[in-house]
Amino acid sequence: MFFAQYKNEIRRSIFSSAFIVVISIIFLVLSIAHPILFRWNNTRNINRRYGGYYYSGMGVDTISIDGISIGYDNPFYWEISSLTEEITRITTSGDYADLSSSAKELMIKYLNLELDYYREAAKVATDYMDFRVQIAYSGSNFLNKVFYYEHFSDPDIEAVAKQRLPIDLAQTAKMTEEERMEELAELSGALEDCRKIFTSDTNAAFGSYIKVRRYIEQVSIRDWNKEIDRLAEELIKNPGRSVEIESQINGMRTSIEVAETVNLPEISYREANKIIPNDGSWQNAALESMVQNQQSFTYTVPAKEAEYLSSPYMMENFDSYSAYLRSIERQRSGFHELVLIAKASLDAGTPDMSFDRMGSRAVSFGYASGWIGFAIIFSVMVGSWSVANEFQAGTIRLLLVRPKTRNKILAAKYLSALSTAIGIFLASCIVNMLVSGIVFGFADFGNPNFTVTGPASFFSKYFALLAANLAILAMFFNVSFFLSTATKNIAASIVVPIVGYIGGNILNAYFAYRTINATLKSLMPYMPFMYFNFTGFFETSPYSAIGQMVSRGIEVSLAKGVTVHLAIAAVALGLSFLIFNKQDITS
Amino acid sequence: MFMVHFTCWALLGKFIVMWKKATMELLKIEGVTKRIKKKTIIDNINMQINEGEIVGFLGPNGAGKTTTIKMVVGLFSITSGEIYICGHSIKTDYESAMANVGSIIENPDLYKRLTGRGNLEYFAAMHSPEAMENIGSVAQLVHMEGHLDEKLKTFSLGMRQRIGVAQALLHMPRLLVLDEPTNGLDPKGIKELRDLLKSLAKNSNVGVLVSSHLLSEMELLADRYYIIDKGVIVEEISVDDINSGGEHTKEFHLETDDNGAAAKKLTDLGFEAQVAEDGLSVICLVSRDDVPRAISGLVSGGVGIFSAVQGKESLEEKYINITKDSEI
Repeated sequence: MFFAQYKNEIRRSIFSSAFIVVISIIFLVLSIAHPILFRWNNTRNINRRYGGYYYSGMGVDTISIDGISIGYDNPFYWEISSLTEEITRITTSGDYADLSSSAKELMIKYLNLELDYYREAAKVATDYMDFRVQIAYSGSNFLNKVFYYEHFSDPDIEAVAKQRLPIDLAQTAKMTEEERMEELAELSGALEDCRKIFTSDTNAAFGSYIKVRRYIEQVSIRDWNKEIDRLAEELIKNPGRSVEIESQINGMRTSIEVAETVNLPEISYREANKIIPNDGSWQNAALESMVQNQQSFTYTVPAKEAEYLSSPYMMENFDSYSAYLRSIERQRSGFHELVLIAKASLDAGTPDMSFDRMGSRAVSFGYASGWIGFAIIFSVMVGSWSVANEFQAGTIRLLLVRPKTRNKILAAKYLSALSTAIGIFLASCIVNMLVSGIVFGFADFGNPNFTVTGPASFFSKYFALLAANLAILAMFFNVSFFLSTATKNIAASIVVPIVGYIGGNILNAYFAYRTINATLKSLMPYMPFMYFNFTGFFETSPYSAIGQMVSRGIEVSLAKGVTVHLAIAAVALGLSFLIFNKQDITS
Repeated sequence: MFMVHFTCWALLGKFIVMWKKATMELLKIEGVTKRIKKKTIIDNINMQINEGEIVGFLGPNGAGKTTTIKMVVGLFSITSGEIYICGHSIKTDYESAMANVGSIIENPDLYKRLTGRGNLEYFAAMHSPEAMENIGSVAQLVHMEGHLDEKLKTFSLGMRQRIGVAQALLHMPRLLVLDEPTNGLDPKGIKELRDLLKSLAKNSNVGVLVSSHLLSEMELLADRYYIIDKGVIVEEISVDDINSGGEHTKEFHLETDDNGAAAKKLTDLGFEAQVAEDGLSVICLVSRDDVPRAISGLVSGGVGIFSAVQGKESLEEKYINITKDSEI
């Protein structure tokens, strides 16, 4: 009997409402368009992710090099145009006026050298994502040093170096002729390797990339070691500065540790597995994630208690030194987890979802998490419309004179509208999944996601997200359903929850990175606005807003969020029935 | 004249079969009180409607007509007292009670997004399966069979009223409760509705409770009236009370050759009598049964009588008399 009334509601209330039908269609269209647009947008933007954009429409002229036209979206465009201008200004506008004419000539010679270098680079590395770009910039450091050593005997070099070359003149003055020649030979070799990268032959360029990067790490390690030795001597001379010097030494030791345990192994891994930087492959993404989190792990070390006590910032954010230590430990384990995931994924040879943004898993997961806001608004609209519509249209008088108790009538209305709101969202998720499979391949759904405890099916994560999202939808739906019953006004019961949703998101953003007192800190995890989007709970990154909050002692969690939403939903539903049952139909 | 089709007769036949089964009173309101925020809106009223009876429910605006009717159909809660429909208490046996009532409360606001049929189906689905089968014949009864598949928003007010009547009849209720049902109907529609209600009452023993402020219309329709004022039933009047009088005293107007002597003689005989203000007649309060005694008394006293006419108090006069203290 009850099911008959549910069917009656679905058929003659829900399906007959043009408003609900139109929004449902929009939702379904969205779920189909999402993967398609995602793919289209990605191919369109892949080459324009950095730079470029900002200058479009500024009307800058393109530059022609050997018949190749260089536009403002070329990573070296600004170097080339500013160097060209600099050279012109020396002769026409009298820049570098304090230089002698011979020094000016030497300066022009250097600037031309640099210009030629960038022109070579610009011809080959044409977009910001090209792995050659990073090396080309490093190469310019070698270039000025090589120029300096080559012209060491030139009386004008010092004047030019002071103005334009980043050289520590005091230090080079102490070097012997032999040391200088050694340095020159080494730098010239590195510069040669950098130049070798200016070839469209990716394999050859990649070989040079590995060589140069390894060289840079090794030189860095050597320089830091030298500096540590120097600081150690200074420490003996100035024991009074021990805190400052020791902290400097520790910093350099950490840098050496990172170079030796993270960067050099990364370079070797790239070399062995031929993982080209920024090539869009999942392996590169995994490797970058691993490197970044390993670095964060190494650099995230707790401050000493004395340091903690002398920092008002830290004191404000943590209740005690031990709380601070716990928080740092949490961050470190977060970073460590991400390293393990990347490593497991690379070892297994299958991408974790997070490394394959253009995969069916990531796209469908992104849809289910990213469009929850739209689903919330939709469910608020359906919930608000459901009962208030009967009052506003006056049909409630004809509805409630039937041989059905108000409880039954309201239950049928509630369930039909709720199942519509939730059903449309779930249906759109399924459609989206199918279309993602068609666009990006169904095989990706079979790939596991990696966790600290081992690989897990994608669907366990996906369905957990959907279930959590249903709790959000049920909360918003029930609140608007309650308002619909209490206010009998559609507009009011739509506006209030949506203002709450927007306001809650603002509050969430406000508290995510803000120092708050202990009371707020303990209350915050029970505030519904902390959980208007659960996506963050499915990412382990300590850098995420959730990660930041948790590390500062705001103990938000997925379980708490779902519980808070379901509790509010239950109260709202109970009140709806209470009010609906008791009220006199005066309208 | 209201045209009743063959199929409608079949439907009415169904009603008749149903009504033969039971003979109890259809509506019984027992000591019902309604208070809203400590203000007594309805104060201990009693009403009753039997089979085949059309009962008018009259009262000034704000007297409590709609409140009473909303309590009967379950739209208002009852503060105290009991309402039974066909013997089922609406407090304890709500669904059985409501299965026997068809109603139109205020304007029949229907679903504009649905067709006429959609509206009727929506309501019918909340009754028995027979209600769904009755849609066609009920639509014929209200002359809407040709418009059932049009969207309600294209309907005129009169057409909506007809669908409103149809939804009240879908489940063949034994009691019809109509709150100002003629609002928005043209004279032809009003007459059709009147004929329909009379036919349902007469042929199918349906009991009807109609509230209205149009007294003239009520006079043509109802068998009995309840007059409510300030939440209290102040009078229950049957049509016989108005038309005949029986044992109740009535005003008689007598034209005589000596009105002064006639008034004195009548007073001597124990009647209440006086000369009319215009001096042209004697007005005597007398029950119908006592009229011969009064006239023979006058004749034996030597008064010549030209005519004796019963002064007829219309429903309107009665209504105004009863509610004259009410602020409207």
